[in-house]
Amino acid sequence: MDGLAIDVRALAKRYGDTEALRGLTFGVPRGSLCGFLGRNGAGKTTTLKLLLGMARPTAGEGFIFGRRIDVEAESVAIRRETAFVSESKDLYPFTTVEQMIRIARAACPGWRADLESKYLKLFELKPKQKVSALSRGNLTRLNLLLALSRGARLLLLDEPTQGLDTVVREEVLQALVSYVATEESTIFLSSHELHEVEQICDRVVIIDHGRALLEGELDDLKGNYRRVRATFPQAPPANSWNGVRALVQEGRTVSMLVSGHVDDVVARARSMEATTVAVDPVTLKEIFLELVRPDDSRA
Amino acid sequence: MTLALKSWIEVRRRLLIGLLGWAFVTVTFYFSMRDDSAAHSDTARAVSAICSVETVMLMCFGAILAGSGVMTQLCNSASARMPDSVLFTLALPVSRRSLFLSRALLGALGVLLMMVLFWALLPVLFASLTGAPTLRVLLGAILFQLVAAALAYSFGLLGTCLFSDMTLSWVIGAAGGIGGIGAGLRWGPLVRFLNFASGATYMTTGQVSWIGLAICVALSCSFVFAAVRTIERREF
Repeated sequence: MDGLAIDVRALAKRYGDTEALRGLTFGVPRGSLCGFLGRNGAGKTTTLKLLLGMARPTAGEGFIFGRRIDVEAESVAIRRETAFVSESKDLYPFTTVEQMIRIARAACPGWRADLESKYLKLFELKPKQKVSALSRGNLTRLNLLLALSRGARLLLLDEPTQGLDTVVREEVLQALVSYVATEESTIFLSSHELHEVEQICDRVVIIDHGRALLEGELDDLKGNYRRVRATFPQAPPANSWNGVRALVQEGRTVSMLVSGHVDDVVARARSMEATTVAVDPVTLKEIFLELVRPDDSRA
Repeated sequence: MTLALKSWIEVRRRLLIGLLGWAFVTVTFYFSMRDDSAAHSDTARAVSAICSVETVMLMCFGAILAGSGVMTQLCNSASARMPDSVLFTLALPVSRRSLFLSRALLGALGVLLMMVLFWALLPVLFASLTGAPTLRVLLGAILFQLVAAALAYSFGLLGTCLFSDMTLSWVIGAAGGIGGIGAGLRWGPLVRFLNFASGATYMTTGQVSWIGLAICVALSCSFVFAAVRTIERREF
């Protein structure tokens, strides 16, 4: 637990008849920039709310920097060290940028005036502007300013780049990378933008139906997965492949997503007298799509 | 200080609108009483009438202020649409109890401000009637009104935790309507309550119902306690 910023064990959350989380377990090491991936309704936002004490787990336990997330007093201490940007990005519409900063500054004991000035300048926000008059991009910038200036050791971000144009999106991503590098903080980033996660994160957690399907270093993950394409003189039997995560067969060609058993699968293809065997790296998107694909659509 | 600033920024418009409405009602009432020839001959009757109206208005404004101006961003029913910025609020390193009580306190100060404005007007009003009432009568009226306002206000606070904005508006409106009809029909229990809460009973008989006061205070405390517990247990 010592090396973990977030430590979640068998976390479950039920809303009436709906099971939002079903024994979710994962850990996020301190100093990492971790992507939190999943389909809509997979349980990402619920997990973030549980981590922040906005909702309570039905079962299981969770810790942030060793503090229990389901104890009110510890939750307040957690929020002293944790900043959050919600998916909606909504702030108080009747305030100005300056007033929002004042409220956050006064509420957060670790507020960093130097970071406030830095991001106010970087994001080109006008202090006197009404929050209700901010564009989507500027609202996101203000949210990030409020989160980054808190001097937090952990940032929980729910879809931070949703709805942003390419320029602002890039600006936000760079700000996050820079923050982790200079402030030695941890970022846990929920997103549907796989290419962004691939661009900035060093680690990912993929969940589906309230369970973690995969977690680990992004480089290890990508190094472990390969696309193997083999062409045969005749169509091979479909059930002759072990250790294959996904298989698509088109005539005499078989395309397989393989995890950890690449050499075995290649050897098996050659033993079946494949005329060509090609091994290619895969993207995070390919891995993700395969993992969260419904069972009944699998080959 | 943090929470006071935050609460003030959030509720100031509603509070100002409430005060304007209150000032309008007060001034209107002042002129109607000044022109009421019957009131000029009977100080007790005048004070009683003034305080009854004052109490009813104060209770209504207190409940409305609690319902619409103080807690809306934190206490909406889970089934209602979540207020947009509630997640930002809840992510601040402040306990829910502190958030709730800071807003409740600010709203209570708003109710108190309304009372002070009215009290400031009373000497002027009485000067145009039969004469100023004794300090004892005036303090009695103030005490009863304070208790009555606290009761309505704490009920409004609890209502914000149990109902959505829309439902709470209906509840307050219905309570006001039923109360108005009951008063118009001179429904016994309601009249007795109003006479007690406004201090009219005290002014006419000189008797203080300590049990009544204790019940009102206990009810107010239970409403606030229930509201805090509800907020602490709420899931967002």
